[in-house]
Amino acid sequence: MAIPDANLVERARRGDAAAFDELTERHLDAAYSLALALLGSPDDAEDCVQDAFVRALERLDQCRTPERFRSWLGRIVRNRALNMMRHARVRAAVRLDDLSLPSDRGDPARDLDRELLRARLIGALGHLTESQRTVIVLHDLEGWSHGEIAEVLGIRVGASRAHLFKARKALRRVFGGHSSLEEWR
Amino acid sequence: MNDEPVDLAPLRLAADPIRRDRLKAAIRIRTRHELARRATRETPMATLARWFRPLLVGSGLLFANAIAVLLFAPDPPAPARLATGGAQFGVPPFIGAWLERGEEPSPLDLIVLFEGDR
Repeated sequence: MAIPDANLVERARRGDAAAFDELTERHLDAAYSLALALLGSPDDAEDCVQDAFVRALERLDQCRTPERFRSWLGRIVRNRALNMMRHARVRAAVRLDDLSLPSDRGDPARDLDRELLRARLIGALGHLTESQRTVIVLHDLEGWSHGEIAEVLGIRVGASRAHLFKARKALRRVFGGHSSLEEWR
Repeated sequence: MNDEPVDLAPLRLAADPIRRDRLKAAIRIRTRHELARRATRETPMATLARWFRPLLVGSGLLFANAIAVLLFAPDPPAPARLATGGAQFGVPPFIGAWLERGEEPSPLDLIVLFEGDR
């Protein structure tokens, strides 16, 4: 049985690196998807997610509802992304290329295909408002509830549903009536 | 109206495991110092526990001192009697006697006090 987030947060507050690692593992994907949808660049999304996790750890004592850690982290990611969009960004993050990890990137043709798909999808998301992007990524990609998304955005659940409806409609218009890029191209 | 979820899978970080691992490693590096700081930080309970023993010793010493003072201190001197001893401070003996008895002076006493010399 998985350890609840609240328990991991409590341990991370006391400096338990394994607990914070587990929190990172659990919530990294959603944080990255959200940052990518908002910023549009994988490199900026990585910087944003790094900063967000560092800030989350520094402010962990301010997380009043540790059982809802992921929506609290989602707010930090979103605020960081909005700040990066607003201001000229200073790259203080660790340069990812400096890290010594395997350089084998698998099948180049498949990778290129994936990159193209992602670029087109990011372009399509550019037709949505920031709130619509947040809602559709967290709901349709990460499977979050409207309650959690509403917490991230500081809006009502009904407003989150309305954003989702409009976002899907707008994306389908961009995709020529299809539900995915695969069908569209 | 078609309101099914839109396929956003190309945005998934999991689709790019190398990038994912690098990102995790970067986060681990940047959070290392903060985690170490937190691991050595003292909790309020630990602070209390650290001060508990000296506080207990201090309280014990104070208590022992108070008992010793109660047991061995000499009795305080009896207060000087106003009727007799007050004269040396210029208090007439009959005024001292009134004060000791807790009685009010009679009108006759007052007349004698203020007019006695005439």
